[in-house]
This record gives sequence, structure tokens and C-alpha cells, in this order.
Amino acid sequence: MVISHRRKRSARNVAITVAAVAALAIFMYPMFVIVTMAFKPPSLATSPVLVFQPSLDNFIDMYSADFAKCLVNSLIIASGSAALVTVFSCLAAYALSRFNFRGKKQLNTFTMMMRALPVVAFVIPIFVMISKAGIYDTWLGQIFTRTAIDLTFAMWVLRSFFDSVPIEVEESAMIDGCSRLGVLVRISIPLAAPGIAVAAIFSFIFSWNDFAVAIVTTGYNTKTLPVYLSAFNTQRGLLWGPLAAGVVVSIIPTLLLALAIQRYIVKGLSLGAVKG
Amino acid sequence: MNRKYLAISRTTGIIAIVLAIAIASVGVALYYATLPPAEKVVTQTLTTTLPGTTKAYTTTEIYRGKTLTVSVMKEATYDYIMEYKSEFEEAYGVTILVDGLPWGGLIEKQLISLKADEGIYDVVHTCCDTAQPIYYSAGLVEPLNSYVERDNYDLSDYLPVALDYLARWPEGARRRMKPGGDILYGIPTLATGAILAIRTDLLAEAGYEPRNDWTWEDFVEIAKDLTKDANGDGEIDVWGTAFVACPGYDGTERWYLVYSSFGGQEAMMTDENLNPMIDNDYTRESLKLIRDLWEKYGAAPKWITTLSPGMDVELYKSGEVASVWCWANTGASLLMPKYNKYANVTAIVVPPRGPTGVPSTAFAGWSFSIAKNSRNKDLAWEFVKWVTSREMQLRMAAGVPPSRTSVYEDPEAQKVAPYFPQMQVAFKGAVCWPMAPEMAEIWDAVGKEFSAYIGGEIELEEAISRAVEAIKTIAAR
Amino acid sequence: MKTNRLYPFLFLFGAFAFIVVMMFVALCYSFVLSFSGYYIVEPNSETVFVGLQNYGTAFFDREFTGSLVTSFIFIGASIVFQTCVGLGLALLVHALTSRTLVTIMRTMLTIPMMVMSVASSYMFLLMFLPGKMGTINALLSYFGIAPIDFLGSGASAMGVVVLADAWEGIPFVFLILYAALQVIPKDVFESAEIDGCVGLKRLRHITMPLLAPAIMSLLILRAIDLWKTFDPVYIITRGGPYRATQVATLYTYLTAFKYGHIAYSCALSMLLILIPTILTAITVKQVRF
Repeated sequence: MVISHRRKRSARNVAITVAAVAALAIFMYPMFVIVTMAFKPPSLATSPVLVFQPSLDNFIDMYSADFAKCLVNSLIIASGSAALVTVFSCLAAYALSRFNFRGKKQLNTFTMMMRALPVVAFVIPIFVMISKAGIYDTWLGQIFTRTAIDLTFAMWVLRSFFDSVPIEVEESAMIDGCSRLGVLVRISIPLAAPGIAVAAIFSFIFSWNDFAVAIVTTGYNTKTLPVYLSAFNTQRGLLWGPLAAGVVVSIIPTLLLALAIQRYIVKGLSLGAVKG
Repeated sequence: MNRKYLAISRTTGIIAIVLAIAIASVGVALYYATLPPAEKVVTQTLTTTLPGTTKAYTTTEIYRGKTLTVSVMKEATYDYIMEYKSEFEEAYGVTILVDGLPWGGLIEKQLISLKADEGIYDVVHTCCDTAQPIYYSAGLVEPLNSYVERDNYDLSDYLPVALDYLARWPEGARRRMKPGGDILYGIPTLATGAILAIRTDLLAEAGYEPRNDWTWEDFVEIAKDLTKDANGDGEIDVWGTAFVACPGYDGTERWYLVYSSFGGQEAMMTDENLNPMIDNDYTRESLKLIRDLWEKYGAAPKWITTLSPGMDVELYKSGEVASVWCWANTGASLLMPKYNKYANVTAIVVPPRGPTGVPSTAFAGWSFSIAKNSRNKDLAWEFVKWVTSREMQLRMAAGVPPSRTSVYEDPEAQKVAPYFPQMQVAFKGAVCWPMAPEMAEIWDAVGKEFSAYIGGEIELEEAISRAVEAIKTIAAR
Repeated sequence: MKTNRLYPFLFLFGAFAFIVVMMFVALCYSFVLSFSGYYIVEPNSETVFVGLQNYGTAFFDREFTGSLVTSFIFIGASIVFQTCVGLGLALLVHALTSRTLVTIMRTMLTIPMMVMSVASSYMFLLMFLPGKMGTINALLSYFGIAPIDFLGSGASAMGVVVLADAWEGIPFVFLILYAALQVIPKDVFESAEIDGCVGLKRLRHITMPLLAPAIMSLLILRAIDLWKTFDPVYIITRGGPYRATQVATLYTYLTAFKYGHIAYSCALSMLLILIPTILTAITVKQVRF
């Protein structure tokens, strides 16, 4: 009885492993297409040949004097907005979670409403505001806009986190004479750190990959990577090779970051977000 | 609570946040440190003779230290401007910021800038089908008549059709059905026509030679013969032609080429007041021809209704299609082995002509205009003159079809751009699309109906009546 | 804990300052514009007050109402697809015994989120192109199957767009559901097994009810994000064969930037925000948010 049960178990495990690997292979196929296209010789870019001589021509084609500048711009903008988002969303999410005040429900609905805003709706007003404020084509314009957009996401994530931090710890700290802010910094943030890391990384990724806002708020000086890559859609056709190469390069920073906090993504989300 | 877990995550979190803020601060500091120094206003008398100016030009204008921002589509023109702009910058002591945008995003950004109180662009690169109708009819760009007069600028070298179609606009008019007009809103920089690129090796196999005077009957025969099942597996490997018939604006553009070859030049899409004029025999014949290409003759694949412009050129470059319509500037790149592995067996010919003898080609192009809300209009005018000058166009001839007659006839230029003779033939009969700001919407709506017919989903009369309905609805708004 | 009145305000100020200034003010600008007759070609048309005319036109505009229906179809199909696949993947990875495989899968499954949506849309376009150029068709031809015209018919074009967006959305669903599964204490599963509840039965009676709150909040969030989808539709089908994939956001974008009816587009944007807000308000009552 026990033996056959174990055999059934291992057969089941094998089946599950096979299914998982198969699912992964199918799911990763588009990624496979991108990566192979980046390393194919340019003339073979769109052909689905699997055997080819790997070449770095696409990367060379993609690179131009502007590229380094765009990379730096993207880094600065993404980290700037991630930093701002982290700081402010921590404060706001903590407040939404702990304090009871009038208008709390309305604020929640307001945040959801802002979340539902399609980008097309506020592209023109953003441009008008930013150029009137004189911050067009500076990092600040893009950072501010992205911060606002990513805050809605971060606040949602972090609020559930702070909800899961037991209140008793804070209460005892406050009895011991700790101020509200002190409680936040010394107790709640460390406890919710995984979630904060998650929110920061997601915010970085969203800003890094953003196109619609970037194209409106950046010009020659602060062009970001997505805008740079979109230039490969030329009138004589889409240059698949350099585009794929560009995508591969632009994934690297986000991938590294995600790997760094990989443990925390799941732990982080499981701490609170799932409780609904 | 696991103390070790706490310690790691807290430190990591704090380090990460501090790092991010540090990067951001360093970035901001760097930015302010590297800002160009404030403009120093210097009065200077300049005497220059630049390419583009017809005489030594003396001015006491304050240019030095200024920055001119130009919006250009990120194409060959952009590359050439970047290559040669230092010549202009040094002569005038200015900086030129070129914002090169791809097709998707160019007109949106230009529009937003032109409509704002203080725009960001001084010079805009405008396209005839989408940008010019809007900019010219709304007066978003500066009229250039006074500038031309003041400098006695010689416009005679430009192709008359280019000036009429790409630059002139009747004063105060909302729409312009036929080219021409009294106000000059831009200077043409690129003049192009639709041409046909075709594989000479496949033609030779089928026993043909590339010619410039094919009729539709000829062409259909040729396309049929070029459609082959090369490896005998039951599927067609090479199609005779691929005609872009996607629903929407781009599909309508291509259909219009065929339509005009059947005589549609006399009956444009609509008249001055947006009354539809397409309910005629030319429409029926042209639509039927396109649909027959796949349905009756099997010379094109059925899925031409999913092709967008660019995809057909890709198909040609991958060898799946033997002939393709394209604009002359795209055609230029098809002749270069760097971009097209079949470049050595590609020929550019005039597209097939209809029963009226008119080839199915259209005239189109780009101009440079000065933004109305620019603060550097005189400097912008200098730039426009320079970039459309004979010398610049000669330099750009390999990648940019010029707008000056003398460049077309220049033997040096013809050597690097062998498609010039075909273009000159094409220009003679080319149709000029009517320009109106509502055209974008009208062509989109009509294109959807026509594409549905071409794909075989609806019938001819229904497509035409629905298209007419759509035009009427849009005109009523 | 009700304490100092000032505290909530201070804490919330930073975040909401950003949101209000950048997004809400922009929204108000749109709102005001939606009552004007701003047509990009008419000079000074932004100062003409037309009242509710734009909204009236929207009501009768068959293309707009059609695009709303298409949006709903897209969201419905996407949510079902993404949740099912995400759930399946989460269950699969949860049941894996090899730790390394779990880590590999967890990492790789989050990669699609990091790719620019523009780029991934182009990749899906390349994959599903008709004729031999499409990657999938080329694969099929190795097996001797004739190339399929994916983008030719409305239903399959919608399928392609759903797939393209799902590729980006499933990692998110997977992460949340996987995390939710991790939270369920092991003894629940063990005692269920002792009671003989395994496999599908366990799925139905134990796992699903425990996952329900996570799934509910996930659905709302995904629905709102899907409502905003733009890139896949714009790049792959441009509105699809005969409007089959023209979603509401695409139509709003076209009216503004292609046709120049800015005021009309602003009115449409207002409606586009209203609809998910109302739906959220209704559903939020049932889910503790």
C-alpha cells in the first residue's frame, strides 16, 4: 500500500515537472524569439531559421551616440521616480491603513479612479502643464508624472502590507513613548520591507518601460530608452534586428533588479496583498 | 519574527532606498552642472554665403548663441541633417537641436507643440497626407511669402507640382481639393511618387523584361506568372504582388492609386463641401481589380487585407512577394544591398497604367515649415533655406528624393539614385490627393468598407453605399 | 487609533499632492475641454462652449458604442484567459517538488512583465503574421500545415490581441496567486489528504475557497488595467479587420490625434473613466477593499 502510494506520488511528480517545463517553454517562446532575433545576422532577422551564425551586428546597428545618453536618462528617471514613489507611498499607505478619518472611503475610490485613467486622456494636459512650468525636456517632468502614476499602484500594494503588520507591536511602541513617525520608521517599515521592495521595483520597471508619457515629456536632451527604441520603426519598415537587440539590452537592468529581490517578490506579495 | 530575516530585509530595503535617492540626486546635480551657459546676447554683423542663399547675405540679426529646435522624422533626412548641421551651426554660431521622431509619434508631438502657446519646435518637418492639411488649414505654421520676397528667394528650381501640392494653400481655405494657392506655408524638401519595385530575376524566368509602360492587363498577366509554388509542396511560395489593402487610411491611399489610373482624378473622394463623389464606375472597376488580384487571378494572397504599409516591403525583402508598390524613398533603400538582400535583382518601374494611360501612382512629399509660435523665425527661415538648398539636396540624393528639378537632372545625382527617370515619368501623371483636415477620418472610414469588400466579406454595392454613408456622417459633424 | 488630527493629513499629503497635481488637474483640464468645441483645425474653437453636445454625439456614435462593446469582450476574454492560465501555473509551480525548478520558474515567469509592451506587441505581430513570414506560420509549415491567416478574421485577431496582452498580464496573476497558495498552511492540505480529498476535489473544495479573496481583488485590478490596454491593439491590428479589435481607448486616441476632434476625445475620455469607476464602486461593496 505504502509503496504503490509512493510510486503514484513520484509518477505524479514527474508528470507535474514535465507539465511545468512544457508550460514554461511555451510561455517563454516569445522571449526566445526576441533573444534569437537579437543575435541573428541582420539579413536573417525575420526568418524563423533556428540554425544560424550568431552575430553582434544588431547590437552594433542599434548603438549610436544617443544610446548611452538614453540609457542614463532612463536610469535616472526610473530610479528617481521609484525613490519618490517609495517614500510617499509608504507614508500614504500607512495612513490609509492605520488612521480612521473622514473621507477615507472616498480617497480609496479616488485612487482607483486615477488608476483607471487611460494615458491618452491626459497626455495633452500633461504636456501643457509641463511646458508651462518650464520643465519640459528635463528629468523632473518625467519623474513627476511617472511618480503620480505609479503611486496609485504602490499605494494599493503597500496598504495591504501595512494592514498585515500587527497593530499590537505599534501600540506597545507608542506606549513606550515612540512617536507616530518613529513607529513608522522603526517598526512598520522593517516589517513591511519586502512589500516596499516590491513596490519600489515595480515602480522602477513601469517607469523604465514607459513610452506614452516619455514621448510627451522628453525631448532631445532627456530622451529615454523606449523612445529611442521606437525610432526603429522607420518608414522603410521595422528594423527588427536592432529593435530586438535594444529590447535585450533594456531588459538587463530590470532583470538584475528583479533577481536581486526575487525572494521578496513572492514573500512580499504573500504577506498582505493576497488577503484581499 | 525571525531576527535574521528582519535584519537582512531592513538593511537591504534601506540601502536600496538610499541608493535610489542618491542616484536621483547625483543625476539632478549633474544635469544642472552640465546645462549650457546662459545665452549671451551679442550683436554681430554677419556676412555669409551659405549653400542655399543665392547671394551674400548681410544681417545684423542676433543669432549667435541661439538654439534652434527642429522636428524631423527619423529617416534619411534626419541622418543627413545630423551629418551636415555643423556647417550651419558654425556659420551662424548657433546650436541646432534635432528631435528625430519615428512616424508613430511625430505628428502627435508636432501638433501638441504647435498648438501650445509656447511650442518647443521652431522648424517642423511636415508630411503631405497627415500633417499638412491640418497645419496649413489651421494656420499653425508661418506664411512664408514675405520671407521669400524679402530675400528674393528663387523658387523656380523647385518642382512646380511640389510647390503647388506641398507648400501652397489658398488663403483662409479649410480644404484644398486641387493643388495650388496663394499662401506659401512651407518649402518642399522631399518629393516622391509611388513606384513599383519588381524582381528582375523572377521576371526573366517568366520571360519578361521590366518596362515602364505596363497596363493593368499586362501587369495582371505578369503577376499571375510570377506566382509560383517553387518547391512543389502545394503552397504558393512566391506571390506575384502584394497590395496593401488594410482597413483604414493606409488601405485607402493604395486604392486611390488604382482609382486614379482608371480616371478617378476627375472625381475625387469628395468635393469642396465634403459631398461624396466616389459612387462611380472608376471606383467599381478599381475595387474589383484589387479583389480579383487574389480572388480571380490568384496573383496576390488573400490576406492582403491584413497588410500594413511596411509589411509588404518586408514581404518583398524576404522574397515572398515578387513586386510591391512603394514610395520612391523606400524604393531607394530597396536598391541597396545593405537593406535588401535582393537589391541586385530589383528594378524600379512606373506602376501599371489604366485605360486612360495614367499610371497608378500618386505624388506625395514632405516640406519644412516654420512654427507660428516660434521665437526664432528668422533663424528658422535660414535653416529651411539651407536644408532645401541645391547643395544639400545633392548630398541627400542617395536617400531622399529631391524636390528640385536641377537635382533630378544632375548626372551625378542620377548615378546614385537610378530611379530618378522613373520618377519623372511618374510625376507627369501622378494624382495629387485632396487635402482637408477631415480627410483622415473620411479615408479611415472608407478604407474600412473597401477593405471589407476586397477581403470578400461584403459585396461591391454595399461597400460603396456604406462608404458614402460614412462620408456623409463625418461631413455632417 | 484616532490620534492627532494632523497626522493623517501630513502622511497623505505627499502622495496625494503628486496625484492631484499631475493627474487630477490634467483630468480637470480634459473635463473642461470636453465642453468646448475644440477641433484642431478651427482656430479658437477651444473657447466655444457647446455644452453637452460632445457627450450627445458620443451616445449616438455607433463606432464609439461598438468600441465599448469590443472593450468589454476583450476584457472578459482576457480576464478569463489570464486568470485560468495564471491559476494553472500557480498550482503547477506550487505542486513542484524540486526547489531549483521552482526558483527557475518563478524567475522566468516574471520576465515578460519587464519587457516593454511596445516591444512585446511587435514580437507578437511578427509571430502571427500571415504568410510565411510569421514565426508561427513558419513553424507550422515545418509540420506541413498551411499558413493560417491569424489577423484576417475578427475572432482570431481578437485572440491574438488577447494573447499578446496575456503574455504581459499573466506573470502578475501568477505571482499573486502563487503567493496566496504559499500562505495556505501546509496542514490544511495534509489533513485534506488524510480525509481522502485529493486532486480535483481538493481543488474545488479547499484551494479555491481559500484563494477566493485573492482572486476577487485580482479580478478588479486586472479589469481596470485591461481597460487601459492600448499598445497590443495599436501595434498588432490597428483596430482589426473591420473594427473587430477597436477598443475604446484606441478609438479615443484616434479621434484626438488622427482626426483632430480634441474636445470630443476629451468627452470620450471622461466616459472612459466613468465606466470602470462605477463598476469598481459596485463591486467594491462586495469585497473588502
